[in-house]
Parts: sequence; C-alpha cells; structure tokens
Amino acid sequence: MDDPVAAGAAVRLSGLRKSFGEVRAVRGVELTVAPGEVLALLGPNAAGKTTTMEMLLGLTTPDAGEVTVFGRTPRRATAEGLVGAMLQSGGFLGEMTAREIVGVMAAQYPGSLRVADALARAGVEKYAKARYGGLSGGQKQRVRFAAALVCDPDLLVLDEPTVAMDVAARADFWAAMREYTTGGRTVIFATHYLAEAQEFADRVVLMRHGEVIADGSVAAICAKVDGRTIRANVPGAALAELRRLPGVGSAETRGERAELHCADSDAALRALLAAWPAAYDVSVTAMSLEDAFVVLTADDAGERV
Amino acid sequence: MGTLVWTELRTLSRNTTFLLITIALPVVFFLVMSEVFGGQDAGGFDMARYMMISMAAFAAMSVSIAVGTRVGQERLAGWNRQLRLTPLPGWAYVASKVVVALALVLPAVALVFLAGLAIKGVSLSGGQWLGLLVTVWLGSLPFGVIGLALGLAVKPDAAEGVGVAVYLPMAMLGGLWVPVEVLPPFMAAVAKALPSYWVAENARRQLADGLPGLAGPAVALGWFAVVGIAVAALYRRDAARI
Repeated sequence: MDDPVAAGAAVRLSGLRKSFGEVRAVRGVELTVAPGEVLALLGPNAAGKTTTMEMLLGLTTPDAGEVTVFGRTPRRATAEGLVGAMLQSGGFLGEMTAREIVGVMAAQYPGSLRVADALARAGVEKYAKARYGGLSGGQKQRVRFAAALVCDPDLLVLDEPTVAMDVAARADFWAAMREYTTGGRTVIFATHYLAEAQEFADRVVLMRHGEVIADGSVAAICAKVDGRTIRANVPGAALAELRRLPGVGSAETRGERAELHCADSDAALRALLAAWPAAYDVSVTAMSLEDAFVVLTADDAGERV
Repeated sequence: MGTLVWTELRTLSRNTTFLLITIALPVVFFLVMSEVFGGQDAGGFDMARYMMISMAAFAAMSVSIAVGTRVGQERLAGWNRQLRLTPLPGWAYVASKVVVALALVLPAVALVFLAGLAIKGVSLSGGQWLGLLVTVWLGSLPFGVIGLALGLAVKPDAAEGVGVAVYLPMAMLGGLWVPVEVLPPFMAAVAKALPSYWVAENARRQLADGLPGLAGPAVALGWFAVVGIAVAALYRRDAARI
C-alpha cells in the first residue's frame, strides 16, 4: 500500500503461481493494470488465463505471489462490490428467470444498480421473465453480463464473454460494453476472438504455458514478431525445405499452399522464387494480431521473445 | 439472504415434480398406511393418529433432505461459485438452505395433519395440533443439515439420488414405516439413536404428556451440531476446489 503505483493500480499481480498436481497452470505472472484500462488476455487453451482470473477474483488461492485489487485483497474487493465477473465456471440455475437471478445478485450489494437498469444495460429485458435454462447460449451470456454489472463495479472481469454469441449479438455486446467503459471503468477480458482484442482493448497480454509472453498495445505486440508473412502456392515444395529458406522463422503448408512467417521477407522471397520459379499467387503481408498470436504462442516459439 | 430464500421458495413453488414428491407423497403414504394398519392397536394410541404422526415426521424429513441435496444442482450449475463473488458470507448461503427447508416443512406437515383431520377423523384440540406442528417442525432441523452435508459431500449429479437412498432407510430404521414396538430389539436400539425416530416420538410424547421430554431433543440437537460442523468443513472444502 506504501508503493504509490501499487496503491493506485486497479489490479496488481506479482509473482503469481498456481499448480494443480503436476500441472503448473500459472508460472510467475507479473501484471499491473491501471484504472480505466481495457485489457485483453489472450492465449491458447490451457495458457493459464482462467486460473489467473480466478486468483484475481479470490476464487482460487495462489501457491505463491500476491494479488491486490484496488489495493485490497480480492476477497475484500469483491465483498465491497468493486468487482463484477462473468466466469466460465460460474453459472445460474436453469429454473430461475433472468430477473430473479439478477435480483438475487443485486440484493447482496448495498450500492447496486436497480435490477431493471442492469437488465436494460445488458439488453435482456425481452426475456427477463423466461427460465434461464430455456435461453440460447448467447442470451445466457447476456444474462450473465447483467448479473456481473448489477453491483455497478469499477472492475469487470470477463472470461470469454462472447462465446456462443452470433455476430450480431457480439456487436451488441461490445456496444453495451463500450458504453459501460466510457465512465473510466477497468475491464479485463479473455477471448479467443482476436478481432475483439484488436478492436476493444487498449492493451493486450499474451499468455502461454502459464507465463506472460507479450504485453503491450496491439501495434506493439504485432511489432514484436518481426517481419511479414509470405503466402504462396508452391508446387513441389516440402515443408522442411521451406523452413530452411533464408529469413524464414516458421512455416506451414496446406496442400501446395504455403505460409511463411519471415524475419526478412525480402531474402526469403528471392530464395523462394529462385528455388521454385513456378510459385504463384504470392502475397506478402504485415503481421496481423492473429499472425503474431500464432507465432508467439506456437509450441516451438521457445525463446523467440 | 432474504431475497435468496424468497427466490428459492418461488422457484420451488413452480417445480411441480419437486412439490409432488416431497409434499404430496407423504399424504398418500399416510392414507395407504393407515388403511393397511387400520385395525391394529399401538400402545393405546389409535392407529390413524399414530400413522399420521409417523408420516408427518416422514414428510418433515424428506422435504428437508430434498432441499439440502439441491446444493448438488447448484454446485453443478456453478451458482454457489457465482454467489461466492458477492458479499454474501458462506454461512448465510448454508443457512439459507436450512431456512428454505424449514419453510417447506410447515405446509408438508400441515397437509398430513389436514388429511388426518378431514379424511381419517383424527380429533385433537387446537392446542394439541399446534403443539404437534411445532414439535415436528423443529424436529426437522437435523435433516436440513443432513441434506446439505450430502449435497456438499457427494458428486454433484448424484446428490439427489443419495438423498433418497439415505432418507428411505432412515425412515425405515427410525420406525416410521413399521412401528418400533414391532421391530426386533436390536433394530429398536438403532432407532433410538436416529433423529428420524425421535421426530415422531417427540411428537407422540408431547401429545401424551404435554412435553417431548429430554432424550429426543438431545439426540436431535446432537445430530444437528455434529452434522452442522461437518457441513462447515465440507463447504470450505468445496469453496477451495477449483
């Protein structure tokens, strides 16, 4: 609390570790999130995103390390209604209606929103009186969003909030989120839709094997993976040969279509065309977040970053 | 906690299957059993009255255990995990189940008494009816925590089945189906250690002497305390689990 950065931070994780038996789910995560930041937590399955979120909410006790949320313990921060969360493991009883669910949540907090307001903000008024169990996957996610924001939290923690939503529902969801965060609220969300991170996050944290492997703006993450991607149809080329080309970091092939992630795309392109003059449909593109994600989280990415 | 209790009562009131099994079934059992045993005499009591008390005890017990084991469903859905993210203390979540059980025991027991009065012609004074109701109602307390313990201890999807597998033998061994007086002596001894025996026996003694005595309430309180401590430990174990 004496450290002004720690005291002022919305979330501070230091030296966080957690194992489940043999599996080391989180291996030394350091992260400080400023108030008002919208942070996307990315990573392949089993990267440790969910475990990190559960420790930050006080649902799981870390083996080592420290968590503070607005300078408090997670348990205290949630008890004071500072944190709202949508979790993969949290859920509601199918026989309750959305209104009843949000009503029960609201009743636990002294300074909660009105139930009707929370339902309206999450866009669930139309099916507020229907049984939760009978709703579609996307509708259920929205009810969970309403339940997360009814305590009027300063920090929202969302674990894959738009899973099971169709394109239109996802757009609606993020529109509602954006409205919610204009008030300077902090959001930490995990997602598998990289476009969502690209579009909504101020900051991206990439995890792999329980560690943070990249942390920064979308542009900074993309720049971290040097070079460009060459895509081309290369008849007769073997993957191993492509990987040996100068300037190529990693390569994938599907049929004769090859995708080369290059540190030096100029050198790679010259060598490619010299070796396989018949290559066609060639394109060279800068790294998208998705490319960066693939490169950085690949199992053989090793000490690349 | 009030909203939590109220909401659960509302959802249960819409759950016809649950109401039929927990509240209507004991009435049916009472009507059938008092026909079957109708002619016999049990310790100076008339049989309809005896069976009415036994089945009211059974109702109190089955409702309480059924409510408690619903925790299994809530664990399966992740509802208790969601509530753990709110300021609601763990003890209040656990207590809300006991309160819901107590609230449902009242109509379940009253319905058996009503059947006794209206169909089987059991005649008691207003004070006696009230005394019986209160005794059976309070006697149901250990079963609420027993159901909770099962709901927290066994695999979430098995909790309700295990609940039935516990309360049926407990009712049998407690002499609710077959009066303890006709059970072999060793079974009668087992019965006297069970809260299922005492919930009915307390009511009978209360009717005969105006007070249930000390043994019954002591056994019930013992069960309530011991299982209650187990529930606290099981809840902590469940909360620590990912």
